[in-house]
Amino acid sequence: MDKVAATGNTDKRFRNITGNLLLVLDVFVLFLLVFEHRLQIPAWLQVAGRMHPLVLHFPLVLLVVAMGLEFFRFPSRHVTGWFYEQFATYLLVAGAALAGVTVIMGIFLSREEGYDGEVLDWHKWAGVGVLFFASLVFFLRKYKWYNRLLARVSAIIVLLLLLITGHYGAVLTHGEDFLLAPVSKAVEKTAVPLEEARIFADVISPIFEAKCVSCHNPSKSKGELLLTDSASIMKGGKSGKLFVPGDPDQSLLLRRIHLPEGDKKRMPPAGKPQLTGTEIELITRWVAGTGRFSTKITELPATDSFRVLASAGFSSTVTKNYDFPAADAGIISGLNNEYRVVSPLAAGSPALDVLLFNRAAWSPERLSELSPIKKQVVSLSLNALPVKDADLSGLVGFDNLELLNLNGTDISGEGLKVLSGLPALHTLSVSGTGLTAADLPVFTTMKKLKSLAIWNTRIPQDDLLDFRAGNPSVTVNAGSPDNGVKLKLNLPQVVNKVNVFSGKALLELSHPVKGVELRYTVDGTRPDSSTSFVYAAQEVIIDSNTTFHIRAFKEGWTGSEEIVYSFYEGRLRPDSMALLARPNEVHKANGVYTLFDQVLGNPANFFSGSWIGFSKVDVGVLMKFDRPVELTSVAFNTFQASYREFFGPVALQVWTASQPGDFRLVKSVKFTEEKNRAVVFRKIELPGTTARYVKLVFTPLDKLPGKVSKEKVGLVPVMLIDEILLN
Amino acid sequence: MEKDIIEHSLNQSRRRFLSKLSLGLGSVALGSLLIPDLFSSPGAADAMPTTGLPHFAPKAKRVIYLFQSGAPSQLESFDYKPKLREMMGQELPDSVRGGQRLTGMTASQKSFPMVGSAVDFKQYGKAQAWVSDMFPYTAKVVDDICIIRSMHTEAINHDPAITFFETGAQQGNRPSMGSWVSYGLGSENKNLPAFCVLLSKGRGNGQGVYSKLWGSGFLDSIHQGVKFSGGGDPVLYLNDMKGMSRQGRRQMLDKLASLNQISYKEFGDPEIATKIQQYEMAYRMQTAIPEVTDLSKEPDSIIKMYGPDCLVPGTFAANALLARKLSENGVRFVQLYHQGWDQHDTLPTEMAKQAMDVDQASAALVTDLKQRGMLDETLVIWGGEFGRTNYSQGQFSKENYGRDHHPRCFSIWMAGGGIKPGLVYGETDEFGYNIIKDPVHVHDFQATILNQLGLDHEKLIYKHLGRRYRLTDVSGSVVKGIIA
Repeated sequence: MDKVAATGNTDKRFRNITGNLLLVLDVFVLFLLVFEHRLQIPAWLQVAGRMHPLVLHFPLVLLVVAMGLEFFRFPSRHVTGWFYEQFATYLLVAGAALAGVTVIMGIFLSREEGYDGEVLDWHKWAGVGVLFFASLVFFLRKYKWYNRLLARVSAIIVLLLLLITGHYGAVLTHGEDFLLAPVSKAVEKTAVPLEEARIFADVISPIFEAKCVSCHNPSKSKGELLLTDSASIMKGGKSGKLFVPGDPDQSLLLRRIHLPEGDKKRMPPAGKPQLTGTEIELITRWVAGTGRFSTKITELPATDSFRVLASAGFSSTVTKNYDFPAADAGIISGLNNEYRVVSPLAAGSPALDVLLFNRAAWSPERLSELSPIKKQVVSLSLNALPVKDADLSGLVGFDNLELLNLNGTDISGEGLKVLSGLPALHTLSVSGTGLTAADLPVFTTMKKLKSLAIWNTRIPQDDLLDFRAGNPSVTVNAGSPDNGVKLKLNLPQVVNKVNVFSGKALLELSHPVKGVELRYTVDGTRPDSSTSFVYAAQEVIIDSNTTFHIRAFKEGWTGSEEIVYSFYEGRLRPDSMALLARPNEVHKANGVYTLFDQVLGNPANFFSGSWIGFSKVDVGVLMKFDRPVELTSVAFNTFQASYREFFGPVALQVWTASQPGDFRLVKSVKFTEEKNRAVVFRKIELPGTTARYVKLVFTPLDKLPGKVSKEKVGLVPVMLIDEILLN
Repeated sequence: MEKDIIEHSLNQSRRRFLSKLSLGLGSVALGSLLIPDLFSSPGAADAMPTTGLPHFAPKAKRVIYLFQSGAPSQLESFDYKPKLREMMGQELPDSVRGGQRLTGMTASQKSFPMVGSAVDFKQYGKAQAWVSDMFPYTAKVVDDICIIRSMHTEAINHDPAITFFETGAQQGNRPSMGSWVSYGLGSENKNLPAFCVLLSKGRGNGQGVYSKLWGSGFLDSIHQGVKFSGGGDPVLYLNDMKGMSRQGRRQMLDKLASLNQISYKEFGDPEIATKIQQYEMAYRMQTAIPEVTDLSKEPDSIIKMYGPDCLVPGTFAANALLARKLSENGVRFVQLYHQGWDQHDTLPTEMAKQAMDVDQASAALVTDLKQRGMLDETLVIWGGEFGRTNYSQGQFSKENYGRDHHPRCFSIWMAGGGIKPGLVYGETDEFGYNIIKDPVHVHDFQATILNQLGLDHEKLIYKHLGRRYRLTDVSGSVVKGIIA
């Protein structure tokens, strides 16, 4: 008992002392609150004030525990228990007293610049509420009538007040959206495409938001400066105006953000997120410009450095925001078919892009069927469809149509009036249509028109140039005028598939360009546009070996280069043939058949497979006719190019027989090299010979002639031949 | 493909198994802490991303890629280096080469004499871009194009380099860029393939191009490029045979499709479904192709613009004109290859011939699209697979020299499709050997093309053999500096 009494006494004394202390604190706080506006905080007390965020955690924890105990104190067995009675009292009084200290510090801190506004008020009064309520509980809980209900209500009130105080305190330090930011990303501000972006709202303001506004907002306006709206920005703060538009040298804003890092007045202050180089540059250029607010970025000149810098910051991936509702997906898919594609501009966009194809599948209904989605179509292509003027009336009500492609349609102008009623149309293509100069005025009635492609119409170039000059807001693509430069025609083409004829042949020529005149010579001279023969289909008959030189001419063009094409008579074709030597690996061509395919070796390409090549060995070519033939001459082509080791044969023997194994040598010739010619045509006249079997034996050059240079040592001459002609 | 089918059923049961395993809130919570996306949406990790629509609003709807196969020299086209002429014949300093590997063709070469361009350069347009005299027509449209002088690649030989450009990997077997685009955006015109390929050959030393360059790799083969023939008939065997009526053809195809359906049900091979679709496409192409390839309605001014060769099937000019017509008809990706740019020797004369074949038509294509109001939505690209060395390969004189392969820098140009016109982007050092400003890697280039088409290169993926594949593999970033 003694011990209990003793404890009771000490306890009573402690309660008195602490109770008085608490009362003093309460009164002091009351005093501070009444005279708050006259307070002048000396520097050393400012330090104390700034310890507010440090100290506040002690009363917070103590009071939470104390009020928890208070809440559960009242089952009768607890009411007087030491733990709930005494210990809770210690906790409560310590917590309340520390709350008092914290409130006082808080009041000191709030007197410093930059704390103001509703959030502070909530925090302050809730904090004061915590102090007074906790004090009240302390003073009342010793009375008998203080019952369970009162205890619980008080505990709840104090805890609630703690919660409110804590929350608003956090809002003051971390900013408004801090708490819910991680889970509220979904309501992120929708990104704006460059075309819609405005200087302040979409470039400058986001920088301020990110780096400045946490200290310069209505609740916490350090330096009496608000950076949240244009009026406050123009007004400036305690130290004066931020800037005068166009006068960067005098700008307080720029001075502060350009101060060196250690400087006390530098903004943002040390420890806070700093402005990046680009952001500083953007703000600087904004101030140096006219400091405009609502101007669109794209309205600035293209070379404006603010525009260039700001544009880079805009993601090119932002979809223009359309405010109309999306069309029903079922309707969209119902409109899609093989000749009409309706698709959203991008995933999630309500705007639709429509393309129609295929002339044969066109009918005006293809357009009128789009009626259910006419508010959603922003882009429509009718390119190269036989769309008539009257059909365009189907476009009435396409209020969001921005791009329309009418290139190559059958419109002639009248229908364009409908387009004036399209309020959003900004890009129109009418190239390759029958429009005339009389149709030009209708384009000026299209208010939003920015780009017009109008080339290859019946409108004279001069009228287009006048129109362009008169409508500087519209980019007019009038095509490239024919500036009179004469182009060279390309080569004529020989239709004949074979160079070898028997009896007679018809020269067949063509040229890809319509309306050209083909002229030719047969004497090896270069054709000209006035004196050479004019080619006419079905009229040029070949009956002897002829080499044509052919060129193409046309009014307004320069004449083509010449092509050279030769025809050779080869009256006799053996019924079977064989090669008696193995051709070189790279010049196998099509074996012996190459020699009788009626196509001469290609002079431009010795690897084309039209030449057959041999080295070192004598080459026999054996031919057999079903009936005896009268042989008067043998001819062949060879390809020479000493730089590639190509040489013609040095000798040829002609053997004939009427029975196998009965061969007689009828002619043996030696050839001398013909310098400076690639393709050499060799013809050997024979004394009238009748034969069923003919054998030709070609002898190639056995080694490279003259002095062999170092890199050619070891190479052997190659003999290329093609097409053996027998007459 | 068989493997795919087996895998498919395995995947199904594995997923079911896993979903049964992951019962219980605790494991879900733990799982979501360890792998944040694990439970975000059921099956999301395994599902292919939805395709067929742009991820965001596209700048370009279509691409025409004028590939200059063989690698045209940047030093005779768009990268003007007067210093090389001044230092003609002097040895390339080792510090500049910096240990760059050489091809087998110059590895044994003892000296690397620098050689300047044999052809003069002049400045053109508002951008004052330097263009060589070999490209007089391109010079006239510099205000419409964006010249990138700072391209670089990883490969040093033609086949890996061109495969890298087209598929994002050097080894082949991956889908081509056009296939990726077809996969990502789908077809605009259901009567034509979404990806068409046109080949032509110049008079210079050439390198082959192979069908793997327009293959669809592991993507559905419906995305594979359709190669047009260079002859008079761009698509072979398109005409019905004699005696076959249009209706007869229809009935035949319907019957065939029902047979194919039966075997599709039995085997589940997606290639059968593709086959059915391809027959249908071919049927519709029978009417669409003649309309598209008909050049008779092209006015004289167009013929003059592209040059008269545009009427000769199989030439670059004809392909360029055909590319415009295909693009106009909604073909997403028209891929041209012009061969013959591999000038290891006699570069000045050979390259001049090559340039003559492509210069006029390339410039005409840009102008033509512009005058139709189509350039904004069509991205035109011109360029080869790598650059050429600033030193001569083999013997050289002022007028006659050759250049070896050079992956460290080369020039290409792009036009339209939301690319900044009249811009010269990137810079090389005064020797024309290394990039000193704004390098653009092949993967960056690919990422930019996809970006212009409204596709995020990091989201355009296809899961194959347990890995998510992208055109840009694991790198690449959009080149914002060239986007208007």
